[in-house]
Amino acid sequence: MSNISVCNKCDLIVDHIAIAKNKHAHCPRCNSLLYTNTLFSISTILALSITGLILVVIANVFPMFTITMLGVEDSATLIQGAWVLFQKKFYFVGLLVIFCSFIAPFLFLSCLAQVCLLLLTKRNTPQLILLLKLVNFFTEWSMLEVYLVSFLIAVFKLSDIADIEFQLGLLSFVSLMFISSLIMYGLNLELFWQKMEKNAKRER
Amino acid sequence: MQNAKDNQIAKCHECNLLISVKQDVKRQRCPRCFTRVHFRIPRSIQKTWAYLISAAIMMIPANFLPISTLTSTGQETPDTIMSGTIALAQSDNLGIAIIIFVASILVPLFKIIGLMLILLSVQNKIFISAKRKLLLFNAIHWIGKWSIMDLFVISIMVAVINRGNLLSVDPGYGATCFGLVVVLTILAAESFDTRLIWDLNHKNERK
Ligand SMILES: [Zn+2]
Repeated sequence: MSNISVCNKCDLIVDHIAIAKNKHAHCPRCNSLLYTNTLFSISTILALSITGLILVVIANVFPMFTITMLGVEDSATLIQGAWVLFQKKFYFVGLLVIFCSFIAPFLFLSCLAQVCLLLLTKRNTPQLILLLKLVNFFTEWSMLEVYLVSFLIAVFKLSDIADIEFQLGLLSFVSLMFISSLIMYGLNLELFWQKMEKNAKRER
Repeated sequence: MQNAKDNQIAKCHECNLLISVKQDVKRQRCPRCFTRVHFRIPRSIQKTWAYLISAAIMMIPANFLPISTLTSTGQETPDTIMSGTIALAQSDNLGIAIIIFVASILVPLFKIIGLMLILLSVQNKIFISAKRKLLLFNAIHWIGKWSIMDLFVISIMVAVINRGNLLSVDPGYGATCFGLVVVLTILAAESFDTRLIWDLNHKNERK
C-alpha cells in the first residue's frame, strides 16, 4: 500500500505522489498535513537532541535569575518552582508543573536520542518501539514555550517589588526552547519507523 | 472521495502504518508497532463528553476558590483568578492582566464550549459545516496548552517570594481545581476523533 496515503484528520484516501525535498503534501479535502519529504536526517536529530540534553542540565544547575528583595538576595532554578509546591503539599499542581516544564521535555529529548542511537547502530531492541511511542506522547505534554512566557510574566510582576538580575540558566532555557521547537519542526517520525522496519528485516 | 474505512483500510494511530483489515478489527494488531488496530478511536464521543462535563464542573471551584494567597506583614489577601486579574489591571499592568484573563478564563471556556458544539454537531443536534468544525478543533488543539500559564506563574511566584512572616505567596485550592480543568480539557481534545466529522458528511451525502 505504498502508492496511497490516508489523511489523519479526515480518513481520505489520496494517491501518494513523490514531492520535492522539504516540501509538504496537504489533504485536498480538509487541508491537513499528509506527509513531508524528510526535513532532518536521523543524525541531525541526534545532534540536536544531545545539544538539548546538555542545555537541560545547564538550565537546572545554574539559576534562572537572582532576586534582591527586602535586602536579601535569592536565586531560583527551573525545578525550584515546582519543588516548593510539593513542600506546601500541593502535590497535583506541583506534579503538573514539573511534568510539563521539565519531565516531558527532558524525557522527549532523551528518548529521541536513544532512538537515534539504536537506529544508527542498527540495534533493533524491543524497547525501540516503546521509545518511539513515548516520543510521540511527550511532544504533546512538553510546554517549554508556555513556561518561558509565564516566566516573563512572573518577572514583570516581581519587578515592582524587587531587583531582578538574569542569569546563565535563563539563557540556556531559551536556547533549549529553540532547539526543541526546531526538533518538533523537522522531526519526521515516519522515517524512524521505516528505518526500524528495514533494520528488523536485515536481522532476519 | 473515498474513505479509508469504507475500503477496509485502517491507519495505526501510533505509527501511521496503513493496514488492510480482513474481517474482525478487534483481534488485529499493527504488524509494525503492535498497537491495537481501530478504524476510529473507540467510544470517542462518550469519552470526550465525560472529560468535558468533568472539566465544566471543575470550572466552578477553579474560579471561585482562591488560587493564591499573598501574606504581607501578617495580613492575608486571598486571590481568585478573576480578582487577581482585576488587581493586575488596576496596578497599571493592563497588558499582563489581559494575557492572564485570556489564558485562564477565556481559553478554558472556549475549549469547553467549542468542543461541546463540535460534539453536538457530530451527533446531528446542530449544524456546523465540516470545514468549520475542523478549523474550530485545530484552534482548540493549538491553544490548549496555553491555559496552564497561570499555574506556571504561581509556581514561580511561590518559589521566589518566601520571606517568612514579612512577605510570602501560598498556593490555594483553586489552583488544584484549575490544574484539573487544564488536564481534563487536554484529554478531551485528545480523545476526540476528527474523522467522525467526515463520517457524518458521508452519511448525510448518501441520504
Ligand atoms: Zn484530510
